[in-house]
Amino acid sequence: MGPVWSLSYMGNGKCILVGKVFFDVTNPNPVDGYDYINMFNISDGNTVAQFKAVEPFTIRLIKPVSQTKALISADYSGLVSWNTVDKYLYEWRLKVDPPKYVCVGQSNQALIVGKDGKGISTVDIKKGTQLKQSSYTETVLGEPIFIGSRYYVPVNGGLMVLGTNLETVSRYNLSGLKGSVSLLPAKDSIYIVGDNLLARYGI
Amino acid sequence: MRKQVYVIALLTLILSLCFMSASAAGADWALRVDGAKTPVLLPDGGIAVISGSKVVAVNADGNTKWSWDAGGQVKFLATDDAGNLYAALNKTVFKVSGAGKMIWKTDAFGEVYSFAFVEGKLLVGWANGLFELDDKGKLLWEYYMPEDC
Repeated sequence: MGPVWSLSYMGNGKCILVGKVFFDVTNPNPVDGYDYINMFNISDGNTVAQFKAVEPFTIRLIKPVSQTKALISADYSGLVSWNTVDKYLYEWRLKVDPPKYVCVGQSNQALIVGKDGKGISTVDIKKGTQLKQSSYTETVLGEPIFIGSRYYVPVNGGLMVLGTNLETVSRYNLSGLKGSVSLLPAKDSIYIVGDNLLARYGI
Repeated sequence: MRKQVYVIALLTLILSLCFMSASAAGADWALRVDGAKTPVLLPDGGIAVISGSKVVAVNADGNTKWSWDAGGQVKFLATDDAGNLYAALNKTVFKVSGAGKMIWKTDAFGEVYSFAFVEGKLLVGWANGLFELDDKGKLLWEYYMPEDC
């Protein structure tokens, strides 16, 4: 038994957790453990579904797509779509290095950032196929967000604004933005949080 | 002595303004917040972030509303629809009002590893499972890993 280290709310009273199980309970070193994925009911904590199709379990992130679908980034498997029902089956698997960030867009599309933080591609999340690929010289510093028809991608010194075909639409400069960055969409604006910096950008 | 305090306060203000104008090129505003992370959106359009042992709330116009010190490195932060904040550090969970005052605190079973406020309840992932608190800090249920995992 080990820690529950990720919680992703799916809506409709259901939540997905990722927990870790240790092979040796006398040595609870996270690198010696493997992850498990459960969907549970938030009203009573009872497990309503488990996902066992991604093995061995080293989960990098989970991104809810809808109340019944989640994308899972996992070592050896890449990017996997789970319908939150089938325990041993996945809808599709994209054999790539496990993405570092996943951002769900529109029209069954998601943007994924590669393990190195530089390669960016879009994926058809209905079919599990790659649509566009692009490699940037700048390292992505945090999870992109999607607003309107644009992806906002944090990089050193600002935000890249990409269209759905990964074309660069514009760039927002923010000197001093570095480190691990979080973006938070708000009304007509984006909050940007980086190392020692909090900023707001109107969009 | 009082004169020295005034001089130090004035210098601090000047340095802060210099930093803001330098960082705010293109942005509506920018603030220096040491170690800022884990932003949560407040109902009034403002934002709250973790800054070391503190939770800092900032208005949408960039003015700091309040700062609350938890007494140790805050790891997680969440908010409810009313603008109350929930913070976790080590083995303790806090509820803080939208005015920056602590409402309650409670011990978790162990080290907190994940945190989410959903549908009026607080989910807390800890070293051996998961539990849920209501908005008054009352334990609703505990979860341990199922045997067939």
